[in-house]
Order: sequence, then structure tokens, then C-alpha cells
Amino acid sequence: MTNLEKYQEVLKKHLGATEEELNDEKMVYNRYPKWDSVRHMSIVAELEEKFDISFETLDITSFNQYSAGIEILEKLGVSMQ
Amino acid sequence: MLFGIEKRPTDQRAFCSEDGTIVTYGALVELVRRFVKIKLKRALVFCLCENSPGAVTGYLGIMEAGCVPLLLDAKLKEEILDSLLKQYQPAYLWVPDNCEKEYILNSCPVLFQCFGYKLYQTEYAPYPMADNLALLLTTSGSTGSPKLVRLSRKNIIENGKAIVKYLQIDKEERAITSLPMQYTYGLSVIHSHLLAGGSVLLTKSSIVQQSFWNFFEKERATSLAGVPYTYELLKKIRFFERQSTHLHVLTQAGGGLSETLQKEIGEWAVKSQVRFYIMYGQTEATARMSYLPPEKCLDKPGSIGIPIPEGKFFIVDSEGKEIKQQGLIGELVYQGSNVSLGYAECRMDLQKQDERQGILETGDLARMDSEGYYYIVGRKSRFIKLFGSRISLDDCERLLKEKYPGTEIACISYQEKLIIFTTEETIVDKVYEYLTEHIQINTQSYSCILLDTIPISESGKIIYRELERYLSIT
Repeated sequence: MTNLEKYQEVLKKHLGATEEELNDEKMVYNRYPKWDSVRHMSIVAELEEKFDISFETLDITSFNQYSAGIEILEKLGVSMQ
Repeated sequence: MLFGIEKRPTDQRAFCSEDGTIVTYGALVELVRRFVKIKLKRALVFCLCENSPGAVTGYLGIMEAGCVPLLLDAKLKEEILDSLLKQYQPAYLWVPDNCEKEYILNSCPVLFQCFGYKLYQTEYAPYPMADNLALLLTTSGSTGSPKLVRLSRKNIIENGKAIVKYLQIDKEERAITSLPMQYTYGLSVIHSHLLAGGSVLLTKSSIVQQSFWNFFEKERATSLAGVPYTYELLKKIRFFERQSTHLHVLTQAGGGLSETLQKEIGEWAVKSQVRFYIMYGQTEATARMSYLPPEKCLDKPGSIGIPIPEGKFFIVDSEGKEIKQQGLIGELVYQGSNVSLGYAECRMDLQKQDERQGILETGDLARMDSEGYYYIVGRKSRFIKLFGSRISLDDCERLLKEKYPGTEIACISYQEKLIIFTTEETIVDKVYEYLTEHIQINTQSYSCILLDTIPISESGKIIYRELERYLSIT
């Protein structure tokens, strides 16, 4: 499984999202019905564990849509290609 | 006018919002007057709330016009809103334009609009309500229970005044809305700041979003309110590793904070010259009943403090007789002018008079220490009897949370068994051994269940009923 797929799996698991919803149109914090602060922190915790990384404050607070997650993971050294 | 808003300097800011809207007291008074001029019949109004100038302005206008708002989340599920509409038949609705509820609004005439909100007239006719009824709040937010708390104008003003006094709110304060306004604690922040002539920074963003913190910095927020979960989030985003030059008040309510977190925040607050208030309240008492003075925060771990100005606590035994001996546990009873009129479960109930006469049985079990500080030890019903001894489910939760910091834990009793829910796989096999050190328990009287998430209400409290439902299904 690629890192991108792993990332997508986490979103699907915590937000109950489908493949078609994995885009910036749908997957937006507070707009996607289940993406609230509780699930947000569970997603962050699982990504940290899966990729053995640590989100800084700004990473947590700027993770506000699907693509932002990918950018943050890349920044933290996870290859998303 | 409500909160004396017409007495403030007209150019003083009442609120501002993330999109740059600024509402001065002068503008607010003018808008409220326009609301009054529509000459609405005294009736129930569903007010669909978000933290925005439109929601707050409309809320104040509705009350000033002699109507009774019921505050609901603008994101409330359609079927829940639908059933509340049928149940309570409001004559008017105050709704944001972005709200996708067109199916209700299609044929309704619009009577007034401001800041992206519209006042709709429904097909329902006004019906009689008690004269002293001013405001309705839900008891369980999103679950759609029709049970409401009935509040009077006196409740709102008196509780607001007490809060202004003990939090020392003045016109220089700028409170940021970190909680939803339809939630009693979030609403009390708005009430108390308007009453003191201060301003409210309205944002729909959550504290895990950068937009919240940009607004917080730009408007130099002076105070922030949070439930225990807010503080857990603040810790996770490392808020307590930084200093803020403008923040000087933090308040916490909506359930008990773990003693470790209380200590950590208490120490940070001293260092950062922030006054940190732990408070206790219920919607049934408008909002607040007690507070722990900031200078006592580190001396009194776990305490809910002392009654607010003009309020009184009693501890009573199972027969309702006052327990005078300190240290003994009994039900906490509160007396004060902020005690609500009672509940409503259907629209006929809106005619009911004051059923409480200033006295509220909180349903919480408490004790008082030798210096007059109160401690909540659990809910009257949140106990399980195992092997003859009463065990507080809240205590079990706290024990486990302190042993395994950062994990989500919820304890309930179900068919005489202690059930522990957690989201952390690694501790499932460990909790039993740890619990046996503290309580009498055997493998037959307990089980630990792994869940993806523990259901939490919008105010950050665990929804125990959902956990029970989970068990009854499986």
C-alpha cells in the first residue's frame, strides 16, 4: 500500500468517507458532516502513529481539507508520490 | 433594553466576526429597535444559531420584541428540526441564508433580515405562554429530545450580573466564542460581556483550525472559555507551551477537568499571568452556580469552588434534609435567582409557571471541605453497586484517564456490570488489572470494549445513552 493509500484509509476509517469523496470539494473540515474536532484529533493521532511522525501545532490547525493533509505529510518527510 | 445595551457608548464594539463585520452598540441598538417595530405577536421563535452577528442580533431582537426564542444549532439534522417544529409549532423562524432548510421555508413570508439572516413567518399561529418565559434552551443539544429548559429574563440578567462580578468583566474585555451560542455556557459568555459593555469576537471556526487562531491574534482576544475537551485539545496543540500577551482570562466548565490537567493549566496560568477559573453550572441554573477563585486553583484540585455572588449551596441527604456536618456526601442543592422556571416537554408546558421557586436539585453528589469549598463526587445515578459497595463511574473514568493519559475512556453500568469503553487498543487487556488495585471487581463483573470513537456531544460531554444503546444492540 502506498503512503497516499494509507492516508486515504485513515480518512475513510474515521470519517466514513467513500473513494469519490476524497477531494477538496467534499473533504473540508467542518463542512464534511463528520469532520469535527473529535475526529480531527483521532485522524491526526493515527497518522502520527502510522507514519511515525509528530504534527506541530500549525500542522494540526492548518489541516483543513483533503489536500492539506497530503502537503503536511510531505512536509513531515512522508513521501506521497 | 436587555443588558442595558442602549446605555453604552454608541461607537463601542459589541461584536466583530471573522469575516470583518463590526457591530457597534449603536448599530446593535438600532437593529434591535427595528426588530421591535415589526410588532410581532408574542410567540415562540426557533432561532437557528451559529456564532455570527446575525444570530446574536436576531436573538436579542426577538427577546426585545417580547417573543421567546428557542436556540438550536443551525446544523441540526433535518429530521430532528422537523420533529421539534411539529412539537412546538413556532410562529416565526430566524434562519441563516446558508442554511439548507428550504423545504420548510419555501412558502413562508420574510418579515425582516440582517447580516445574512431572515425572519420567516410560519403557518403556525401564536399560542399562549407564561408571561415570565423569556428563553428556551435544549437539554441535550443534538439528540433531538423535546425536553427544554424554561428561563425568565430575571434568570438571564441575574446570572449575567453574578458572572460579570466574579470574573471582573469590564468594557475592555474581548471574549472569543470558542463554544456554540446555543449551548448555555457559550451563551453566558455573550450575555455577561454585553452586560459589562465589553465585546464578543464571533467565530464559527473551531480551536483546531488555524482560522480561529488568526482571528484570536488579530482581534487580541482577552478571554477564552472551554469545556474539559477544549482543554485537552489546547494541550494537544501545545497552547500551554506558549505565552499570549493579550489573553488574561481562561474559564472552564461543562464537566470536571482531570486533576493533572488542572494542575498543569493552573501552573501555566500563574506563570503567564492569566486568571484561570474553574466553574460549575447547569442549563437548569441558566449557566453558572459556582466558581473556584484563580488563586485557589492549585490548592483545591478537583473543587468546583464556592457559590457565585447571591447564590447558595446546600448538601442534602436522601430524605432531602440538610447535612450540616462537613465532609459528608449528599445531593447538591442550589438556591439563587438564576434557577430556571422548570422544564417543558411539549408546547402546553410553555404556559407553566415557576415550578422551582429558586431552588434546584442538581442531581450531582457533592461534599464541602472545612473552608467551604465544594467538590462534585459523581452523579446521583452514575454509580454501580459491585459486591455491596457503591462505586462511582466518574471516579473509575478519572482513575483510568489519569493512569493512561491521552486515552479516551468512558465507564457505564449495564446489567450490573461495569463496562469500560476505550479507543486505545493497547490498554484493553490492562485496565482490569489496574482497576483491581482500586476497586473490588472480578472478571465476571466487568468488560472492556474497544470503539473507534467515544460519542461526544457538542459541549464535549460523553453521551452515555449512545453507549448503552450500543450494548443493547450487540
